[in-house]
Amino acid sequence: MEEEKIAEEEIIDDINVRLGDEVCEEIFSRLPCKSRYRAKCVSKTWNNLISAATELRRRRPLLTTSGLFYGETFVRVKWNYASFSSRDDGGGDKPHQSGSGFSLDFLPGHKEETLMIENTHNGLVLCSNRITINGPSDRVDITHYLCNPLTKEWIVVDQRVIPCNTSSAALVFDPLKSTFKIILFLLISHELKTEVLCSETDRGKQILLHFAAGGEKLSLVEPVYPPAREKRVEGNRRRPPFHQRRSATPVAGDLETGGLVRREMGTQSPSRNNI
Amino acid sequence: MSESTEKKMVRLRSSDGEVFEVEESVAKVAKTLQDMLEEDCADAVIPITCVRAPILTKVIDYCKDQVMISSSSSTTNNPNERTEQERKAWGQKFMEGVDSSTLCELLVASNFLNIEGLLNLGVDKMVSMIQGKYPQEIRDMFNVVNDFTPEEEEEIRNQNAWAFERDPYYKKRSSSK
Repeated sequence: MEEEKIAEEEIIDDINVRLGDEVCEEIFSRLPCKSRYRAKCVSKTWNNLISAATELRRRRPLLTTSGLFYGETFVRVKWNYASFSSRDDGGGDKPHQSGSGFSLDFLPGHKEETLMIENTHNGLVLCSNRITINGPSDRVDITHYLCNPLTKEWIVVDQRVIPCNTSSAALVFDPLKSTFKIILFLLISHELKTEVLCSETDRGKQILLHFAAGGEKLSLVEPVYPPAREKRVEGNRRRPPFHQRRSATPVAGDLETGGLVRREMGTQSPSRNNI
Repeated sequence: MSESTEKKMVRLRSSDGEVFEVEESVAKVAKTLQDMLEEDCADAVIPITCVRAPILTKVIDYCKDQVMISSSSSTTNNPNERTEQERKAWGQKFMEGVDSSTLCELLVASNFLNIEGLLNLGVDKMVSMIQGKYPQEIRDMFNVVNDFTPEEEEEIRNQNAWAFERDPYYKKRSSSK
């Protein structure tokens, strides 16, 4: 009988030890994102367990939110979010309450309603912002953003000017490497071009998107072009330097320095193992 | 299930010495017990050392229900005896009123006995208890001692500030402390 009481107290004292890592991992990986990151503050043990569970979860397809963004019109779109489950309650707010869902209002182009959602995958949203440049030939300045609506982090993945509004993009997740690829489809003078932005092909940009289930940052690895590729770049402003930005701390002047760094890297023998 | 006409009984002893007699089919819901019984290495009374009597009662209730579902479905030839919704509702009812320490014990028991369904129910219940709570509430619920220094806690909180934002209560609470 004496033992019983001791046992009971132990359970209460350190549930993590009592339950075993496996069960704990299961619990934490099933917790909705926001709650999980809040629970990190509980104690050191909880913090460690949750970090481990998050690591584990990253190897599986991530489901940070289930819901959909919907637009009200087709041409100019204001994106609203509808949540499917009460688990996306934002951690504590009442579900389905206005303001408790996600919004893309942190992205440029949202207010102007020029933002389009191209694709979503594993909690990341690929958006494009198209600005028509008026002139003799209609051209579109298109910028692709990749963002995590949960953490409101975003980066500029690609920016270019294309003849007209004929591009689309897809976001693909590689579960083995936990990286994303972005595939751009461009229709330029009746010719369909595809460009893959990813971490391992030698053409295109090298992007390593360690997806953040929360705390981790989206990161964009500086592109490394093999020297031969550099010549191939066409005369028009095809590949303006892309820069890394986060919503909280926009870095000014990154655009220029980013370009310089890129060209330098192109002439040096690039090492691709820094990923 | 065909041999259940004979109704072989199995005896289980909880950590506090209470002996439960259950049908073999019920015991076999627990994979650990199933293995023991099939390999014939079970004694007359199987000691389940890490599970207390009230918990074992609950576990046996669960197992009985599982047997009931599977046997009734095999006789009526209706494999979808219980719809998904009904199953969910049943699971919720089964876990209703279970407090955090009982839940922990249930999880330990179902993990040890290898009852996947019950483990799932327990984990889901646990998730629903933790979700949406604040660190302090979780600590209170599970009697976890906060071993962070205030600075460390602040740091983690800042790292994950987004998880605390958009929260009408957060500011109120932290300022009232």
